[in-house]
Amino acid sequence: MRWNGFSGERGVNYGLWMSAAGLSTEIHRQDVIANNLANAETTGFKVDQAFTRERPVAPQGFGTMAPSIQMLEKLGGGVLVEDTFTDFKQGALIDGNDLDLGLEGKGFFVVRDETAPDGLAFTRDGRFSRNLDGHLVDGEGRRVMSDRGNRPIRLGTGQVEISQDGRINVDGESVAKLRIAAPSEGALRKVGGNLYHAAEGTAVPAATDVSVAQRKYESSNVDPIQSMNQLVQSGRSVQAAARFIDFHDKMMELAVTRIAVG
Amino acid sequence: MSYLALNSSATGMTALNTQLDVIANNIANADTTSFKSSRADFQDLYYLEKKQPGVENQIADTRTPNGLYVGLGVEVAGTQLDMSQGSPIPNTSSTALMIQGNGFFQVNTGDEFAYTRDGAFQKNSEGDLVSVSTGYRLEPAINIPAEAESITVGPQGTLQYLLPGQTDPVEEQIEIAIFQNSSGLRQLGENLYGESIASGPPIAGNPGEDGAGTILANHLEGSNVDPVTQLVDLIRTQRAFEMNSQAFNAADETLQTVVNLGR
Repeated sequence: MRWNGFSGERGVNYGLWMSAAGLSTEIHRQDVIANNLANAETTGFKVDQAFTRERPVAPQGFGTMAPSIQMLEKLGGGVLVEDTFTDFKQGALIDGNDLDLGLEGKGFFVVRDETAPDGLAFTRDGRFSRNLDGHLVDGEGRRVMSDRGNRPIRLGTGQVEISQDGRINVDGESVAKLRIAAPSEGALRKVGGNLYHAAEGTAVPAATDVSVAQRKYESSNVDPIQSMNQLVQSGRSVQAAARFIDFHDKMMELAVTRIAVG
Repeated sequence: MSYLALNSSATGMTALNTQLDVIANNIANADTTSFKSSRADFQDLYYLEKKQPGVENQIADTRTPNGLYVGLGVEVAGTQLDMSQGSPIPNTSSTALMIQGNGFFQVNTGDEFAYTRDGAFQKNSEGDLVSVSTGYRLEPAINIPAEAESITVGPQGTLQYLLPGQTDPVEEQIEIAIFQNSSGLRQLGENLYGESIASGPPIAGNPGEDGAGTILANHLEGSNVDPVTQLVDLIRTQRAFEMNSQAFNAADETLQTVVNLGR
């Protein structure tokens, strides 16, 4: 839609729409915070941040110099929702079972997932177990990949020891090495189930700066204080935006009842 | 819509409530012979795609790197058994048995086999070795005559007893079963586990052979619940629950504000 600038009569409505934009932006922010808090106890969860940016005034935004009121141009154009940003900072490692693995540093375990591009999904949730063939699998039974040609890792029934660089020994015999991949974080998107899919054709180099901790798993990196703080702030912004919508409403009421009546 | 936030925090409260149930059961069984603690595994739900990554930016001539996603909350993916060893607790009975390492005693519940690490056995009225807590017969069955004396069980599961007036002991063999994936067993209660598709079929054999654990007589296996970890988890769960109820309230208030607009 092309904005044709503002006539004097629309000046009041302009502010009303800016407040409405602020209100719906804060509702979006609360959706993101609620999801973060719901996942405060989810293994390997990475917190999402909702970003907003200033919306340029209409003539600037659409690259035109349509006739406009100078005063309005100085007011700015309200607010826009920006892309959600996932913060991949390290979560704390917590003691767990024998086949729990935690990653310290940048990198992801690779699991076989037929719904993903190239058939591979990435995860930081290392709560693994054995399936009935003795393969190393994640909580949903997806096979964990080794670094040699994405083969599944067969453990059998023996005692498993995994070194910091991801080498797997069963009863003292070397079996395989875990594939720890480091795709560009910007290319990943969350698909639920603690998994990430990479866009098709993304380069997936081996992680270099990472160590594997056995009998530990990574907790959620949601910071409760920050999240609650954001929640309170957002709640107040909603109230402020709603108050301004009421003011605009009252002004229009005055305009309609008093000025129009004369 | 703020309905997303309402639903997300509701899924959070439901999942954390399940975690609370699991922890409460662990703590209730902190003193149950051979009890194995469980935990709830969480995973995030699907993400609502409001804008795909890589679309053209409407202002500058660039493509957005991230896309706009809103998560829809959390679910409990499953509960997982921690099959780690419990500590040995001394017992005066020579048929109080503990498995050190992998494996389960097999008992006959009448229509099927069940598997247990609770090794408290005694003779029933017919002399068969049965589980003290459930009365189920050990499998394969071992019958000990009433007049038998000095019953001993060795680490390899050999049960020996003397009959009066004889010097050579009578030998019986206790078998235990191992599973490919023992945390995939069905939990039947009464310290019993059942075979499932996830666990694989039981592999029965003598203790100490082919990856099976050995037998320690005159001991029972204690619960592997660590009260400190459980209490820390309890506090974490409770606080996380409270945070989700706060998010629920915030979303509710926002909706209320919107509803009251223009009144």
